[in-house]
Amino acid sequence: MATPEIQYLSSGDTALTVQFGTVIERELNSRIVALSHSIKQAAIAGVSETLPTYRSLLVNYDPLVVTRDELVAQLQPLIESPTEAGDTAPAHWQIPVCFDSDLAPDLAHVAAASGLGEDAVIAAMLEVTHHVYMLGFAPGQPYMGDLPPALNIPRRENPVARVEKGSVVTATGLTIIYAVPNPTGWHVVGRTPVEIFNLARAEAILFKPGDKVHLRRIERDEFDVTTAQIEDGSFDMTGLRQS
Amino acid sequence: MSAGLEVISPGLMTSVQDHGRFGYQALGISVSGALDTDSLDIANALVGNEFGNEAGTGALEIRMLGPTLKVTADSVTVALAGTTTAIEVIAPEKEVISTCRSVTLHKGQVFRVAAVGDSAVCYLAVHGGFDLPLVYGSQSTCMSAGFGGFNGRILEKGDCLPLRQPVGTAASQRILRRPPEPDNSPVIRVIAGPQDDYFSAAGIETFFGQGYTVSQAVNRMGMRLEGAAVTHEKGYNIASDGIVRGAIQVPGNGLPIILMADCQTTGGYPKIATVISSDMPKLGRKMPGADIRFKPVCVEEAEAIACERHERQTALIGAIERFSGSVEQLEHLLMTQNLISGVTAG
Repeated sequence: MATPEIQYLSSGDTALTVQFGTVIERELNSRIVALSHSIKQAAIAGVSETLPTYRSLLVNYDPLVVTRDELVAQLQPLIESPTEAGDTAPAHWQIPVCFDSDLAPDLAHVAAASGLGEDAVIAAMLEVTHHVYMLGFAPGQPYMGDLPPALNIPRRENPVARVEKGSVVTATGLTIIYAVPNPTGWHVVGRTPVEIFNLARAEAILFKPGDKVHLRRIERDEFDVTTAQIEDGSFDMTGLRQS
Repeated sequence: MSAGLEVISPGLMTSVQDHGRFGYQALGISVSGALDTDSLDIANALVGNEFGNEAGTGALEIRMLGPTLKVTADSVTVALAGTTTAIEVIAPEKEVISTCRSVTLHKGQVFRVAAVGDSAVCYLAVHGGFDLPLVYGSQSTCMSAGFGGFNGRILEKGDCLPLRQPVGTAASQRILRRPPEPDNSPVIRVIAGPQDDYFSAAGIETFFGQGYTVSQAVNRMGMRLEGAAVTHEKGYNIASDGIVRGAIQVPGNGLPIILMADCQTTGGYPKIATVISSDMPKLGRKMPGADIRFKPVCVEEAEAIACERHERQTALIGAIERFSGSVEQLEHLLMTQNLISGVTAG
């Protein structure tokens, strides 16, 4: 892939948005994750942290240590000679999801909006190998894609005030699993009993950018059993990882 | 229950904040931290704590109406900064402790910070800091995700804030004789972008030409503004990207929202401009109803302003003096210098 047309956009005087494009594309996203690792390794003075998203990398810096122009000059060679993404291999996950109607209040809407039946919507979500583009909005919350074109449906016109943690939501051909209760502008189509964020756990956050996620359909009894196991601490998390 | 400060009344919205949680935004973890870091640093310096971006010590961020606290430790040295409001000791004997100086209070004393009229936030620091865990390297309270600070939430009646140094520390009193003059001008300096190209020329003109008012809908996550709607040109949805504190996003209704310390890490509305870091403390102090006018500056100007701010803040903290006389002598000294506001007269 040719070097994309990079834009350096100012996000105030303490951050630079290195924009690789304006659309969501895996190749761009991989380049961004790779650049994030390169910057970390380069340990540029003044750079405090980076935040990779679908199509850009936010580089946070201290203007008392490095100016914007100096920073761009140091980023340029890292962008021009990209390294392979990261030092950790992507993990593969299998996440149980229950699609019962009380846990999936918007499934009927998504079925209607996509022209697929409810069963076909579920089948499509189960079939796709989700790619974790980024974590954002809330701790460890994965933004994943890509669903088939029929599921490229708009977000809600009016956000709902609260969805529960574990809610599996979709819009614009993407899938999110909610980390904590929050408002949403997306459509709730299922729920996992698995906590994708729990500070009391050794690995508080499950996913990292680049990971692959399969959804596995479970019935209500398994949802309830797993929920109880998670509450009493007996749930075996290792079963979520696919070898 | 470990000894420290017992919350008799929590105030409007009191939370533990330090400079914030850095290095975890890629995981979706908000930065959080004090809205007015300049005043936080002064409060911490007054009680002899570490301060600044790197270390920083958690202090109480008080929002408009402060808490009433009872000392349950042997003694504690406290200081208030970011307001002209005083600390009032209300029991067993009344005493008024002016802002920007430290005082050592003893077991059984009850004190409060009443209504703060001159700023949305101010900071009460304790010598040694609170004995609260670091979560992702910080004591800041992240309310949206429910962690950090005291049990991941604002203070409630009956809470007991543990101190790292709950026994008498005999810290000498410190004072900042000339507290910084508050800058109440409506001008907030911003750098255009990162998505200013999503707005029409008329929209940009509106944004910079018209003034805005801070609405009632203001909290640690965001500050919604009232005023003229900014018109988009390329719609109001972008593929979500990273957000910094001070980013000004404009949703479909055209009314700007300035993202504050507890903001989410990513978002899908275009951001017309970003408040420069040096003006974030001033912005954090704005109360509902305050006027705001955005003024564009370039990155180079903002960098120069950041250096000036750093020098000014360093000089200010360097001017903090130790004072070893009695409280009466100190109050007399301040009176004669006419630097105490009228609030202490009663």
